[in-house]
Amino acid sequence: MPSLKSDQLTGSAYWHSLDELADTPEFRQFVAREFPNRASEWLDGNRRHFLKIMAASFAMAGLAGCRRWPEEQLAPYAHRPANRDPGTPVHYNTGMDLGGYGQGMRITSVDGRPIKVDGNPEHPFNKGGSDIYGQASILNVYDPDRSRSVLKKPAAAGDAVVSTWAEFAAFWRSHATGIADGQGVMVLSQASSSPSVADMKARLLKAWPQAQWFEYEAVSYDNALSGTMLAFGRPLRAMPRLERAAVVLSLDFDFLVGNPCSVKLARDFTAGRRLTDPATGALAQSMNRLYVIESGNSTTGSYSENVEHRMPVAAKDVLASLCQIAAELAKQGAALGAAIPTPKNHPLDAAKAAAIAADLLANKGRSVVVVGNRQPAEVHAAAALINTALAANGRTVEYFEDPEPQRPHHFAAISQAAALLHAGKVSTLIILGGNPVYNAPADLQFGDAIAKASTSIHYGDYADETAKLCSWHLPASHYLENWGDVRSADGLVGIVQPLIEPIFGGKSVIEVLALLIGDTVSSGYEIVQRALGLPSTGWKWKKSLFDGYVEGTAWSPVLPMPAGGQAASAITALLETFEKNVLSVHNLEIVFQQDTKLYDGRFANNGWLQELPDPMTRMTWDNPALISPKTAAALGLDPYKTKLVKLHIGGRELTIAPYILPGQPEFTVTLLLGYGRTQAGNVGNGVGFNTYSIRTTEAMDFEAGATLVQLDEDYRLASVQNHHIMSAPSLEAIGDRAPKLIQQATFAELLANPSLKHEKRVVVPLYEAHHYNTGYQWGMSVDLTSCIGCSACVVACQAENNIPIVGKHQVLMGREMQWIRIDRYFRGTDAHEPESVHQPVMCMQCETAPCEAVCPVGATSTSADGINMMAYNRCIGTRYCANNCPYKVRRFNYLDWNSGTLKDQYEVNLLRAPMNDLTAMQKNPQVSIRMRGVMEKCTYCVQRIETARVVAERQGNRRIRDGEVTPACAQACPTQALVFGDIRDKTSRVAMLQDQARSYGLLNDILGTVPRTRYLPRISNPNPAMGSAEYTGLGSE
Amino acid sequence: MSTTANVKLPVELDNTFESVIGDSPLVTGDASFHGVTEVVSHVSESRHPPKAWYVGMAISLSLLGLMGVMIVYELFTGVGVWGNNQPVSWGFPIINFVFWVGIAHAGTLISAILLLFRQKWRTGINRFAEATTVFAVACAGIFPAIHVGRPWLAYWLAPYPNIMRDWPNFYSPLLWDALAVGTYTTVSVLFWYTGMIPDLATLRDRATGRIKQIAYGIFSLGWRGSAKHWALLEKAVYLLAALATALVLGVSSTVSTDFAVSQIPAWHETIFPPYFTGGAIFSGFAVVLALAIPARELFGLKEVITKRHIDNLAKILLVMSSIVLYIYVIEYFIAYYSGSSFERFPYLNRLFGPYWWLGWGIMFCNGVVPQVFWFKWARNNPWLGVAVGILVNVGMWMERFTIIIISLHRDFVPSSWHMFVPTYVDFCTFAGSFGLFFTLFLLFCRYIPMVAMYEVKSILPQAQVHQHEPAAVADGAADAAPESGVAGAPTV
Repeated sequence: MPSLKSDQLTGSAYWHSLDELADTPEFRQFVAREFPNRASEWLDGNRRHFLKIMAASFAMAGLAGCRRWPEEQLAPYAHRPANRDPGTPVHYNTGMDLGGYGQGMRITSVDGRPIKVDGNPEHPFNKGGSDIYGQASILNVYDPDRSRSVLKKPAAAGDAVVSTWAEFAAFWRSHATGIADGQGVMVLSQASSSPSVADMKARLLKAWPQAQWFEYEAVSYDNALSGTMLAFGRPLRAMPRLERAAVVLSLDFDFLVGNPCSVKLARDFTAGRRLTDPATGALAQSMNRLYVIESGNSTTGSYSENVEHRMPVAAKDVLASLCQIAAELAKQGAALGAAIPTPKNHPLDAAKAAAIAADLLANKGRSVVVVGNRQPAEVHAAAALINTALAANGRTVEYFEDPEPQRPHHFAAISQAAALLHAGKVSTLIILGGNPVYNAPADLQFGDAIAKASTSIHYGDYADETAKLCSWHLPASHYLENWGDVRSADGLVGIVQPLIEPIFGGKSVIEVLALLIGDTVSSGYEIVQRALGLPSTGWKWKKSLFDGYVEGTAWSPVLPMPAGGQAASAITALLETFEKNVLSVHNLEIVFQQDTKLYDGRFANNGWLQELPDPMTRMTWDNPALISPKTAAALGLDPYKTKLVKLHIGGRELTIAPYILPGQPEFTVTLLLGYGRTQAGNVGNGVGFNTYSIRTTEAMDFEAGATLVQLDEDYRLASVQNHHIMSAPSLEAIGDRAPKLIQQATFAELLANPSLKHEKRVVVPLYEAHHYNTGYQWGMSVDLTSCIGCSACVVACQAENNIPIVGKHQVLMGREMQWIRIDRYFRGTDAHEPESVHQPVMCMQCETAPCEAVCPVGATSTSADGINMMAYNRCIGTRYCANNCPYKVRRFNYLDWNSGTLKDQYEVNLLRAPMNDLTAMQKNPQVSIRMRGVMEKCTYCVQRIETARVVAERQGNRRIRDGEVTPACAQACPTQALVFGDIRDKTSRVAMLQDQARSYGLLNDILGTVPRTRYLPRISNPNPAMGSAEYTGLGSE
Repeated sequence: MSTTANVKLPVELDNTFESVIGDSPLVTGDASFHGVTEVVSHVSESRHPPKAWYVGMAISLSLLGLMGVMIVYELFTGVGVWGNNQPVSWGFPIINFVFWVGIAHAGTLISAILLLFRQKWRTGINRFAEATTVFAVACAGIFPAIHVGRPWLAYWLAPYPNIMRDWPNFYSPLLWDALAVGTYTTVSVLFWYTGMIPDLATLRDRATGRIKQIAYGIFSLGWRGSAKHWALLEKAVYLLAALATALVLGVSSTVSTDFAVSQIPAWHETIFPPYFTGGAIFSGFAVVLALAIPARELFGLKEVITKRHIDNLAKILLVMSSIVLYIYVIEYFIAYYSGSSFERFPYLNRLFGPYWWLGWGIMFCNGVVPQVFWFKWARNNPWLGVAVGILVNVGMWMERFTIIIISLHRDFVPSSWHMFVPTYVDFCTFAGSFGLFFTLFLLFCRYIPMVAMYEVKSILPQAQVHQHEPAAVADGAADAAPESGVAGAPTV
């Protein structure tokens, strides 16, 4: 038995076994107290409650310490409930909130266990696509590190001890008597879109009029609200309608990835670049165009037309760039007035600024300027004014009244909250979600501030950094465990319904608020109905629950008019401040950026997201500081070896690993938030560097004045795509191959020659070819023009197919397991400022598959319907198939990834704990868990195909309809870049796309593998006036 | 001619020249029948082997133990204890497999092909070379077995009847490989053992202890030295030699199809069968050279493994080195000539990629170093021979590393390129395989006649007697008869 204590585990330890936990006093206490408590409750439980206890029993079973079969309580159905077939997946619609924005979700549940999260295809806002956060959120439900009980800090100093809700309720009853009008009570909440939370907030403030309520998010979208405040005199939510836009200018806005509204924005934007109508096969006659001015190298930047259309500038120069374009617009006749000053410096090439302005103006009413949340309010205001001049308002951008116009900016709120705490004006602090000790501005000393409050209550998913410092910690339920509601960015309300009883006895935030204010309505179910005004008896409630959203609750857009000259003076002032500051090697700019995977750090304990390669850096398990090659050279960083650097700014310092990322602006260091957690759990602890430690109220978004020195300390970054400077032949080979792998053309070229001179070469197969001309013939089309590299497919695949994570060490070894990878290549003659392109690569399901001939035991072969299958039971693991696969999409279980922890991977199997039972609950029962020594790879989600086949055969042996089967990746894809179906049916969408002359099979002309997954080339629509970006190939990988 | 039988030639006689009056003697020192028996049997019969034997055995057994521990660890943990990854799915085990299979080739070549070509000088070293074959095959056989992800199912490679009616995939070169190596093991063990029977009988007859008598007695299979025995033996040996000759050319060719049949650039090449066979013979001869020299020093076998043997081995090494070098050059040329960047890249990557030192290293060790044997002084310097033999084997191991790792680590799709870094388990298992080899080899030296006595005797001048020379008969009768000794014993 491993003798590790849970608190000694850091970093990459994944699910650690309960056996280890059992060694800790806390856990013994938990067992001693909580389990009998549950046992006494179960008699009057309902079905969900029963399942929860089942789950708990499973979890407890691991405690036996030996490998006996767990004891279970059985309660067989005497009468099977109606419409319930054991083992048959059922789907429920619900909603998920992230950073104050809701999304409609559809959950797959098997026997009372939710196992998969997807977008709700009927939801008017996100229409079925999903992002990595939604996809990965299922893993958090079954995270063994989630907070398992109420924790209470003893009066004397010491660690928190396990308590119960009853004990807390008793404490609160006596404590609440001292709260008369709420004086000294402060609620610090995380952002929530929920109308119920708003309702409970109103009730709390009514009960305690003197109480303070602050809302804080480390990754905030409030700059946009402040911007509209400046421009229009009131805070308005701007919602770009990119599907109506022909020309989009994005300013430091990674709108395609990582934003809570990304799914919608990406879907809308790529609607303008879906060049072949999958229904008719007709070629589009127009294509939208994207210009990006950005202070990092984002996925959205990589999606701009080409390197000439992506202009990296320092974050502080974004304003000047916009002003430069505004000046051009004014010059070309836009009705901008004098609102926007003319900059002294011109960060953009004059010709380019003119070209962008001309393009925006030429598409008046069909063009839009969008701004990222890290840019200050003034930039948002300037963009709003330009949009007004471009007649974009109400067309390509819609504005909604903010539901809480009086709410202070998140960054101001946290400062005020900290000030009140430090001043000793708060006796009772209630933290409702969020983790301010970790992510509040470092200069606020929030940890010390909490200590000033005599009573501090933390409510959250994890006993995190903040919980450790509070006198009470209350466990939150996951959104799949409770009733609630969400509002998407356009105001549409969605009902959150529970799929499982809270596994660890957590409560929802509205239930906790009801408990705190002594509300007579205490169940989440009733609170939601009361807040929405939808009684459960009404048809509307039932319909809304079924649909996943409440019809008619979306806000109506407003058409605001610019208000006063307030904006102009603010913009001028800020521009002057920025222009005075000149960046150099000794005056670097640091830019804080939400991580594309961990968001603000809340997903730090999610192994799928930790191991997901970043779309641009392809980095896993880390958040290096991103620096451009030129700046790195000027700073004397070792280009061959990663050595830690020390970053100094404003008296603070941070030791961090650098990563040289081509395409970064000069003298700008991008710092990703969300890492370096100390109390995240066994997955997230100690992973990466805590960049919040140098983020202060002075500069929450970016700040100049940093210096950086290299330390003589090596560090290993686990990037899944090698980045070290390669030898000349290798670079030449990449340059030669990448254009073959990722075929590219401009829209003009496509219109002139729809086949793009695609060569079809017939390669004579070694063995007799099978003719796939009966039944279904499955195939997939990947449109590189629509693929934004968001990686939702990768996580969706991981969730659907029970793909394990392997940890940083194994990623360094080159053994990551994801079945889909999103390759990223840099393209361009200038290695410092390349264009980056993405390509999802999964098993190509070759008809003449090289893997099949070489397997000595015939464990892999093509089915009659064209799927290259893996018989796990037959595989003995010679790995010859993986060698012979030219696409390198096969993944091998080098070690037993599914048992034990990431720490004891190299221990003899018999000594390792079996798979955690909680982890096992997430697994898709339709897909085998692969043992060590077995090869695996993409199967086109064959389990879904077979399920559909059974359904179709039972319905009179009909054919499976087009679109009836969707693999997890295609289902998740927000931009519908992946289309799956029967290629033999010439009317199917996939056949329409594959029959396009420009469609190509990867390396097919060289190897003759006849892949079933085919690509549509990446088409861009460059503006000729931006300069020609002619490349011979790729400069570097 | 009785005088010839009793002539004592100097042990360190330089017999490397071609004499105008005929072949220079192949046995030096006491070149009588009895002398040969004494020299060879002495090694097994002496009460204690030389001290160096104990030292060698201690080291070998430690390494063997290390291998055992590493294999048990790997079996119970997973093949991930090695450095293999995606894209380098094959690592040290396959390198080691090809390496040991290569070494295994010299023995059969020397015994079988040289036997068929009536190369008399081979008799001094053939037993010895066959032993290296058998032991090297033993080392080679372990690696593919432990290399698979689920070794307990490795028997699924065999085409055996089963209720699932599952047959292996006969398209797969791995299956061909398993069959080839299996055949090779069987034939080389049989060949080695069959040829050893008369000598085992000699040891049986000379044995003094009861255990030895019984043990040698069992293994000599009742050999009495009758003419019929001799006739049958000769038939069997020639048949096996003919089989083994085909195998020498076939086994490495088959091993090479593991690579040539795939479509990885720098694997998918028609030159691979001769390339692998040439390399195998090359490395095998290098091992025989590197082992024969210390063995003749250690066990006092200079009379039968003479300077001429070393000289001949060195010449063969020179020829093989030139062949291998030629193939290297051809590979590079064809890659260039193909006009395909996919074909050219792996070769450029060998010379200028991250493993450049291997690319150049094999050129140096295998192509340049053995060229020293153009000079007679080099061929006649035994310790230089050892050094070259070892260097060639280092070079040949690097060659297999180059073929397997460098070709895989950067193949078609650049995004999947990844370096291969071996782990301590890789190194320890490889080192351990030498433990296995040398343990077996040292046991062989101690307990089995290291030199084929009866074959050596057959090439002594006195074996070539004519009917009218009775003296030779007397000598032969006196010496050979009791010890069941001389092939083609003269008729009286």
